[in-house]
Amino acid sequence: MTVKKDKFWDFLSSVPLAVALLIILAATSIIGTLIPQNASYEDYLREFGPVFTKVIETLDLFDMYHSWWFIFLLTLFTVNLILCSLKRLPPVLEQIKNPKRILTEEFEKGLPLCDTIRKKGSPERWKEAVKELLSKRYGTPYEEKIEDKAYLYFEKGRYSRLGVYITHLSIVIIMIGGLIGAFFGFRGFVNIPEGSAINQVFIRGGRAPYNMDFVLRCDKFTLSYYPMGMVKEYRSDVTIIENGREIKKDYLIVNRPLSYKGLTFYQSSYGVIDRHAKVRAFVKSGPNKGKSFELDISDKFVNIPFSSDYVKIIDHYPNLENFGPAMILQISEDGGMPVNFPVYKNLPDNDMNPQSKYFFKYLENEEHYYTGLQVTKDPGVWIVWIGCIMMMFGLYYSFFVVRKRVWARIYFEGERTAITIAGHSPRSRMFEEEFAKLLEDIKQINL
Amino acid sequence: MESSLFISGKLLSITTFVYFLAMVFYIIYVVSKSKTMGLLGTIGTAAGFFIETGGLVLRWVESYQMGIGRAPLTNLYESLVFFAWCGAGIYLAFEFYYKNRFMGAFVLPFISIAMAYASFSPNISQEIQPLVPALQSNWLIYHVITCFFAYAAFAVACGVSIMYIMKNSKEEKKKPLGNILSFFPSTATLDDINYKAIAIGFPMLTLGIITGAAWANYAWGSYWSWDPKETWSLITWFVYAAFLHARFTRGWRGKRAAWLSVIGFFAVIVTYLGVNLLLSGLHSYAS
Repeated sequence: MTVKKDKFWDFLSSVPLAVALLIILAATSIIGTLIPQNASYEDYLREFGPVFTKVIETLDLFDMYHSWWFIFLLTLFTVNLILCSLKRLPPVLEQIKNPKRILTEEFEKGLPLCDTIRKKGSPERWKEAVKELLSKRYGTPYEEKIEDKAYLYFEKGRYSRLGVYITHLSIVIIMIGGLIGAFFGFRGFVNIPEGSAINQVFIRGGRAPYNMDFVLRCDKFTLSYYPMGMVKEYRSDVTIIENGREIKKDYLIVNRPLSYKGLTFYQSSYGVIDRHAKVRAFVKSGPNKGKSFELDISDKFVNIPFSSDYVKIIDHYPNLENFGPAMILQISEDGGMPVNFPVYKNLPDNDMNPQSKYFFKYLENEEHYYTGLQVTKDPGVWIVWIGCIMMMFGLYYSFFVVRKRVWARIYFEGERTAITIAGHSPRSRMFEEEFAKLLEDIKQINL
Repeated sequence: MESSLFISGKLLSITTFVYFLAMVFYIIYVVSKSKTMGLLGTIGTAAGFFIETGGLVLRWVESYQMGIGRAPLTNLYESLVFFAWCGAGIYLAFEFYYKNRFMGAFVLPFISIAMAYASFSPNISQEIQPLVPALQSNWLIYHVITCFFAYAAFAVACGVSIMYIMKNSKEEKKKPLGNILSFFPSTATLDDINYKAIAIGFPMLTLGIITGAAWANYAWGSYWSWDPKETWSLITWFVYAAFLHARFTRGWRGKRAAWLSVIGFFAVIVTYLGVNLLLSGLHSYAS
């Protein structure tokens, strides 16, 4: 029984399981990029047919990244990562605290990079010379003298092996941050008409609306454009009001959110509430031929004086077909079918609707908007960022800080001093050259 | 304005041609082992890199002259050019460090294809266009630079892995290596280069994902929403994480690690191009 249990724990904390889980997570994650997530049931039926839709539904593939089996895989991955780290960390810590500092003849045999140089001069003076040379490269050594033999131990990048554990811990921290966000935060939205204020946020996923303890008013929504007509900026000027007092005036644009009391507002959409325009109508034919009127029109039909004709504005463009601002009007004459046509501000003489009794001139346009703001509360986001920063530190230590160890044993042998030098680094290929150079440098020293 | 726009476009066209020549030189070098050809390959790559640097800087300057003023990292054309630039830079560093020009024949094709695709595909606009509001952020620069640095490092790793797989398959069967393969670096060296390139690429990819998440959170309040681009970047991350752990696992070193590196680069290509060509969204490079 205990053997079986041990085997189970060994399996759960093994690197092969980690590799397998990483590959499985990578492979299964592909599914959700091929099947659209969180679309409507009808869309799936149309796209995949009834049988396949049933299969997809059973496996939770409509929302696979939150499905029981994907969460299970992620949990298993996390458990594996924690157990794996816990199993390997104590010996690493022990080695960091108490590395093998004394180069015994026994220990030497296990080190491929090892050589002995024999030189004239006393061991004391050689110890100082070797220490001086190596300290420049590897820092202050540990020194010990046992039975007339002097031992030196240099270590650089001592903590590099902690990098992987910092990285693993950071993943756990990011997951904790994500869970806190999922359980204690929300994502919602508000639509605020210009001049109006709101204190309730609609939450996605059918939960009850969230009551804010302050009021957000949209003073103005502005669209601005590049010369070629592309949108340059969506901007909402807003005021935060608390207990009837204006606390703060600020603005939001995309990539410039506004945070207040744990809530963050993001510019995400907009819409037109109503349109108003001023035009001048010239009568081209009929009994009133030659007359002209200034008309205030809106997105509801208004009657053109002395007629049974109606006109309204249905859209406005800042730059229509590169001719600058234009409004789209709809006209219905003598109860006939409505006709749409543009009126350009910069082309006051162009008649875009020659069949009509009227010719229109662009005078003014005014639109009233509402701004659409995404609202989030995520108390876990800071934990996620701390995890991310930790992960970068961890990866830096893992990949860019290299642990290098050099041992020296200096003793009197016959008439000369023997200097045994050994070195070790996990990046042996690079270190081999460095070590050869080191031996060469010692050989060059003349006392 | 018109004339300088002409210059950056010209420089980048020349770059395409120079990288292509460098690739041809490297391939001739591998086949003929003429040292001159190898040297020409290196000179070509370095020249391409410098001309391209000039082209990118000029394009940046030109965007300011047009009154738009943004880094040349914002559409498919610019991203391909930037990918080639990172790839050439990283490749030259590896070539210099390992003193082996054979890798050029396996890495330069990625760079050449990227530049040729950018320059000749009718679907790719080379115009300097202003940024839509969602992309107006400094995060754009951090995000793109880190991601593409990673992509380029992974391209080098993939090229080297292909060499590894070619050489290893002959060695395993104890077949004679032949004239070309015997001049490849040893499989141990190739394995080492593969690891080193991924050791650079992986932290960069991580930083790219983190800066992307930070930007997403800043722009619309969600650092992770499982959109296809995000998911594919995570898939890529999983594959390279598997690669890094496989090295500590018996039976997963060498050949399988090389295959993981190739699969990883496939995931990079899907992340980078596949998602955009098949799906729309903020990452789409369309028009």
